[in-house]
Formats: sequence, C-alpha cells, structure tokens
Amino acid sequence: MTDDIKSIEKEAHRLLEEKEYQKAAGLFYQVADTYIKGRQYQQAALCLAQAAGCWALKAGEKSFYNAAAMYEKAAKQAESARDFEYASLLHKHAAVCYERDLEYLGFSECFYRSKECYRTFLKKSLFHAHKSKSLTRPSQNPSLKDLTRKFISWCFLTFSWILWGYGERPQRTIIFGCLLILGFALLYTCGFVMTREAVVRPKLPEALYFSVVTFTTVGYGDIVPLGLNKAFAVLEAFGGVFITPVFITGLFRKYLRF
Amino acid sequence: MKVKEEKVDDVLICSLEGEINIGNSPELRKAFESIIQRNEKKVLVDFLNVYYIDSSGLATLIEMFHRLKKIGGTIRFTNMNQKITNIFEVTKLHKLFFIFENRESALKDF
Repeated sequence: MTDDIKSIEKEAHRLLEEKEYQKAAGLFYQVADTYIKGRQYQQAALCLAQAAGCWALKAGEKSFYNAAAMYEKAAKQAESARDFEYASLLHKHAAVCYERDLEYLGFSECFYRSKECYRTFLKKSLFHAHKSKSLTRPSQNPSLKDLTRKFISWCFLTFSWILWGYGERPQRTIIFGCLLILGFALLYTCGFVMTREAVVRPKLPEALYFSVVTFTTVGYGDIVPLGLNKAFAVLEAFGGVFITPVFITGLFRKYLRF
Repeated sequence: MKVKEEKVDDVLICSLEGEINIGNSPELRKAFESIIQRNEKKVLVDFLNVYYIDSSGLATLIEMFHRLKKIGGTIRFTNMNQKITNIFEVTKLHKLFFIFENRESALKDF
C-alpha cells in the first residue's frame, strides 16, 4: 500500500509538472482518500491542498469552484489533524477562490471558518500548551511580547466572534444588543431614577424602557438616572453608539454581495 | 535519504539528501525527534540535495515546525530547487514556513 501511494503521488507530481492539471488533481485526490482511510489527516490535507492547487492552475482566469471546494476539503482534514494554523490558511484560500467565482455563500462560510480556526490555534497555543505532544517539556517559555501579541489577537477575535461572527453573522449583533439592553435594565432596577412624579426604584418594564431609550441614544428625558445608574447609563449609551453601526456594517457587508 | 548535521554557532544545520517519501519519512521523523531531545532551538534544513518530497515528508516537516515552535524554537528552510519550491507553493506551505535562497541569508535571519 505504501508503495502504491508513493508511486501514485509521484505520478501526480509528474503530471503537475507537465501541466496535466486535471489528471494530477485526480491522482492527488485518490492519494488523499487513502490517507483519510488510514486516519492520516495531515497528509490527506496536504494532498487535497495540492489537488486544489492543480484546479486553481487549470482554472486560470475561469472557474475556481473546484479549487475552492478542494481547499475547503483540505482545510477540514487539517482540522481533523488538529493543525488549526494550516486549516485557517487553507480556509482562507478556499474563501478567496469562492469569491473569485462569485460564490458568496461559500466565501462567507470559509472566511468564518478561517477566523475560527485561527482563534482555536491561538487558544491552544496560549492555554493548552502543556497538552502539546512535544517530546520534551518546554524549557524556554515563549517571549512575553509574543504571548501578549497572541493574547491580544485572541481577545480581539473572540470579541469579534461574539459581536458579529467576524462580520459574517450580523444576527449576533442583534442578540448581543438585546442582551446588553436587558443586562443594563436589570442593573437599573438595583438603583434609583427620577421620574416626573418622584425618585423611585424602577420596575423591570420601566427599566427596560429606559434601557432602550438610552441604548438608542434617543434620551427623552422623562426618566433621569441617579447615583450609580448614571454611570451605567453612560456605559450603555457608549455601547449603543458602538453596536448600532457594527450591525449595519455587518448586514450590508453580508447581504450587498448577493 | 540521508541526514547530515553540522553546527554553526547555535544553529543546527540539517542537510537532507535524496528523496523524502512515505517510505523514509519515519527515518526523518526519528532524526528530528533526536534534535528536539537534544534541545536544539534553532534548526536550518538544507534541501540542496533533495530532489523530491511527498505529502508524508511535508507532514513530517510540519510536525517538526510545530514541535519546535512549542518549545520556543524555530526552523528555517533553504536551498530548495524549483520542483520543491513548486510543491511548497502549491500546498501554500511557503506562507507558513520561513524559506531562504541560501544558507547565509537563512543564518542571518536567526
């Protein structure tokens, strides 16, 4: 079996050199299939990436659909091999190929997966380094600068994931906004506000009304926060000012493509 | 396939020879494992006499790349012929690895 794989892959490389891209892609795919059956996912990912490369070369300026599909498949194998950095790179290439072919659904999904794989890669290297399969225990820790850079990237990506799914899930912004409104409404019920009649501790419906008015920065002025509620109102107003354009950008970014 | 090692300052130069394929990549993995056990942190892989590498060989290089990264080490590649360069480009590995035209420029980069 090893000899079979060896000779088929060699033949695929020969065909690639002779610019017989379609035949080479077929052989690379065949080898990848054998690797998948043997649970050698990293090798399978590499073979599928080569098949994708063949399709991309064959496509020239025409259709990139096959290349995109193959890159996507390769990325999934890299994910199975838990090589998230390579998976992220392959998903990115799949996204680029889909975009060239005006397949925006494929682009959206691959772009999302690319970011998600990179976030997983950062998380693993930051928080699960001890689970690494390396033969020796890390004797020299990575530099503080490197760790800080990774941590900031991870925080930024995680925030982007929650807030709008890297720009590909605008519906998350609505959920995030609603949760923010509800959260602040609950906080307002703990403090006091001034209505036209008196200074009161607001009930939930009243607090929700005030929260929405503050979040949307309408500010009718019929309810005025007091004490600590002033600080919460300021924070919520900032949140509203920031989240509303994020939602509009996400929505237009995604749906204007179609 | 043969693996020759030499040390220049604190960089271990690993010169590979012949063809790297599914049949001999376990040998290469063994050689790399011994490098990691010796706690070498800077490794330069010289491809001057390598004329072919398959996906199994590439997977071994990726494994070494990740293992070294985890222990705070780094790996560079040099002297690849056009065929090997094409394989790295078609698999997009040239975007993950540090590849240099010759030993001098690779050594300078460590």
